[in-house]
Amino acid sequence: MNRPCAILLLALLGLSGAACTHVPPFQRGRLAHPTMLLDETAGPGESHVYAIHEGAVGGGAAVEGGCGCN
Amino acid sequence: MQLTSASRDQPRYARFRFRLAVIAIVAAPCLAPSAASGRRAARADAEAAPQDQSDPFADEGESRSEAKTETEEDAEPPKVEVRTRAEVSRGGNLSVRASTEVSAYSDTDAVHVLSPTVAGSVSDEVAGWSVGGSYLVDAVSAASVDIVSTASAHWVERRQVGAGSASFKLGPSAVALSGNYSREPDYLSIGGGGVISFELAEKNVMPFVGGSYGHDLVGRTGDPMDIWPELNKVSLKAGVTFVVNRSTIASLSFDEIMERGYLAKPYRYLPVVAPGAGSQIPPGASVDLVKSLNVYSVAENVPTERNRSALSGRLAYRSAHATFRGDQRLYHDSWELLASTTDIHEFIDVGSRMLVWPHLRAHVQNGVTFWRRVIEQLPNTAGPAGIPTYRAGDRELGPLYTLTAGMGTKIRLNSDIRSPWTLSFQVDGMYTRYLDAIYISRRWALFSALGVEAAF
Repeated sequence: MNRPCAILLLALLGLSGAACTHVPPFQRGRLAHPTMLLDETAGPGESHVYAIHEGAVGGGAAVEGGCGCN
Repeated sequence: MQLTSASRDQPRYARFRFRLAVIAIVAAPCLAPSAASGRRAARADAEAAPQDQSDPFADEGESRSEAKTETEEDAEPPKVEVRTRAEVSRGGNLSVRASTEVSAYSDTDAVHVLSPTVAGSVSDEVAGWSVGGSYLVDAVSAASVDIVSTASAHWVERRQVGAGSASFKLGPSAVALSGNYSREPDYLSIGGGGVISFELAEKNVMPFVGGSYGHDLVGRTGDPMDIWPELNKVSLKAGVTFVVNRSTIASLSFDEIMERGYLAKPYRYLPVVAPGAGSQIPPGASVDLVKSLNVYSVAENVPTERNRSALSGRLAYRSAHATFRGDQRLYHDSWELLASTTDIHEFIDVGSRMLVWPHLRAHVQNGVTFWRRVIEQLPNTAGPAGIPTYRAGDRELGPLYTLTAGMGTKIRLNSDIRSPWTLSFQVDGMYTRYLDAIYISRRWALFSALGVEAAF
């Protein structure tokens, strides 16, 4: 990772942290809804289609599987 | 006339209302405790592990809690809630889930894929651990233009993927481990990785770091595996998930992926034309036109190193009866491919058992530095004409954009919110425009998936 990217990332993290308000646990009724999980919305088949169609990766699962597209 | 009639019916109506009230008073003690404890248990779960819930529509009582006024939400929860949470933790929280999904893909380039998947997991959300596994099979049938242009036969192939995962909590941190094994006649992939996250400020801020390693062998069907070239991948990930306010959660992450080894596609052969003849082959040129100018064909060759970086942001906002989810990824790699991917869902509650969502996705990218629509021989006055060292035939390395639009739905089949059975279905249409590629300049594709999940 080059230096501009690292600086940009740190700046974004700092800004994002500063923009937040502290929400105590008993006020998180909406945050507890299952659709509020920030996990992958795409299932295994859909993820694989995107991996083949797009030249970019990242931002998803930490481990990726085989190609299937030789 | 009406007044007279009304006054005559009034005593009878009053007696009916009185009987209803008596029935309600008698029945209330029988009905109220179970309903109340259901709400308390659901609320207690939400408080115990607000980020760990994975039940679709798990909280039937939540729509009621959402209807609460801001003043009510500001109030501290009564002590009875805490006692109920303790009861929940004693009562056993083992959750077993099983799911299956069948997805189908078909496009206008004569590629068809059918992918059944089965998955299962066992977890204890209060204790904070889970283990899971999945198995997927891809059955691919292809007669794409790349195959036709090289006079190869239509082929059918199967890919099998097994994956496992485990997670557990260590005080204020959580560890998630995963591994996978993927096998097909010309590709083998083994990988594993882990992510550790930390709960800070009462789970308002959760930084995470992780990494993974993958070892692949890339070959040709029929060749002995010991001559297949290697591809090694190391991925590093760091980011933070944070609560923005009581309705919004967001995350920001950075991925760095280093790939070393054989990165080309072993079946790809590219047409080479005489110096200056490339201008006669426009984007989307037919197989016949390219063949008429083709001098000979050469194998794809790309660098053996690629460093890929992705900066991704995710945001989820919950309103009274819907959740907006937006994902944005900015990507850059050492082959100078720049890309942007935007993915948007709007999950809409339809009653307490049904969820529907429209889905939009847009991906746009330029090409890698060595991308050429067609390979021209390099003029050489001192000897035979050469060709560029690096050349790619993979259209996904060229400039393109893809637009995806679709719909999905998820329906809870039973009334037991603690052990829901759900049915899901989605369909997406995809349009890809290749801006500088031969043979095809656009592709339409349809993806659909049908899934069932059960919790016990």
